[in-house]
Amino acid sequence: MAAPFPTRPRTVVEPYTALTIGWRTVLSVAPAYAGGMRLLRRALVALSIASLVAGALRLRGNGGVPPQEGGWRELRVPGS
Amino acid sequence: MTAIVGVVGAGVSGRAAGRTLRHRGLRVAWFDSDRAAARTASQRFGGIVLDSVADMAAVDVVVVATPAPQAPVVSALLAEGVHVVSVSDDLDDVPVLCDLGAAASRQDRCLVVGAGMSPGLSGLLARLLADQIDVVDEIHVAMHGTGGPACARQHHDALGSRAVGWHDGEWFERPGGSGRELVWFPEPIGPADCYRGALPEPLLLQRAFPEADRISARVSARRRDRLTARLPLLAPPHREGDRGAIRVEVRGAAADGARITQVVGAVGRTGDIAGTVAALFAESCTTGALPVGLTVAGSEHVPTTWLLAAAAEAGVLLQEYTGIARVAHT
Repeated sequence: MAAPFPTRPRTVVEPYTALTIGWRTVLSVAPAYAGGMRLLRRALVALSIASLVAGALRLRGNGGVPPQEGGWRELRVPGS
Repeated sequence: MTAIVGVVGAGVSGRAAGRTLRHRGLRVAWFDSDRAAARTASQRFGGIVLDSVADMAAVDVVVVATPAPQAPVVSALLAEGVHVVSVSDDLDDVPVLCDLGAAASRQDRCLVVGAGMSPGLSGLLARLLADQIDVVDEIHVAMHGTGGPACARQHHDALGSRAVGWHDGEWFERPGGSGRELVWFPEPIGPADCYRGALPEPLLLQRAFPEADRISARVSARRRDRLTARLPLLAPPHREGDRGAIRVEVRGAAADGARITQVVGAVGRTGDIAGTVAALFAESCTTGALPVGLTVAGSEHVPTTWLLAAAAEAGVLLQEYTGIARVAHT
């Protein structure tokens, strides 16, 4: 019985060699690896967002309000 | 007979220490792993150049002004039976140095730990203020600037490491680079944002002022410094250091219960201040003004007023803040 929807033909990639294996090939024939890559991508995206937020938090603000009164003068050490 | 003071490390702070010692009439012996640096310092400020640290056994006092860790060198020098003054400001190094106090006592020798600008001059200024206040509650120190290249690397690393502080009788840790506070240093430094860092100042001040409830230390940094704190030092540090400042704030109460806040500071070339303070501590060792065993700046038995007066005479600009910082309301 024919499938009710078109299916993607399975890719036969044997025999593997170091030269013929690319990321697309690996992802198409190894769903477990694909899941791992998805997790890795999500982790990288999360880290990137966290870095941007941390950077923004560190750079925000104008440094506070400086004192408006008072000043410095030479210190006279007692007994000197 | 004039005492001989050895200087291990002929960098920015070491040279300043040697210069001050010569100015005060003491004889100086230099050693540096870079023999050319020791020879240059000897030619500029006088004194002799030694071939190894072991040769320092012949001098009376040794100022150790090398990059951290200094504990191995200090331990070896104490074993040789000489007084030692350390300018280390490394949070990992200073506790080990303090533990060597027992060895110094056994040898009947003085060991001064934290004898630079911060720690060092900061403790002296804190003691000066504490003696004017009946009850000391809080001590807050902030510093700006670095001595030589090793000091600059040390401060860079401090911003990326864990900071310690003393709060209501307990030690706490916070990330370096946190706790921003706008600090107004003596002119010409002026205002600068300061942050917590891996600074040994609270450890030493807590020894000198066990009655204080809160002790904190901060170091000035630019935003770029904070962002790159956990990376290697990207730009090469200034070879001769730069101008720096220190600000010490002591809060407490008068006898009638009135709250008191006192602020003092100092400004000058950071390496010069550190070296001057170390040299004066070394001179104190030769005159017997310090007790045997461990000494930290700010302790009650330290001749604080003499040290501060001598530092001022040597060119350290000591300043006091007049008035309390507050926003003017219209």
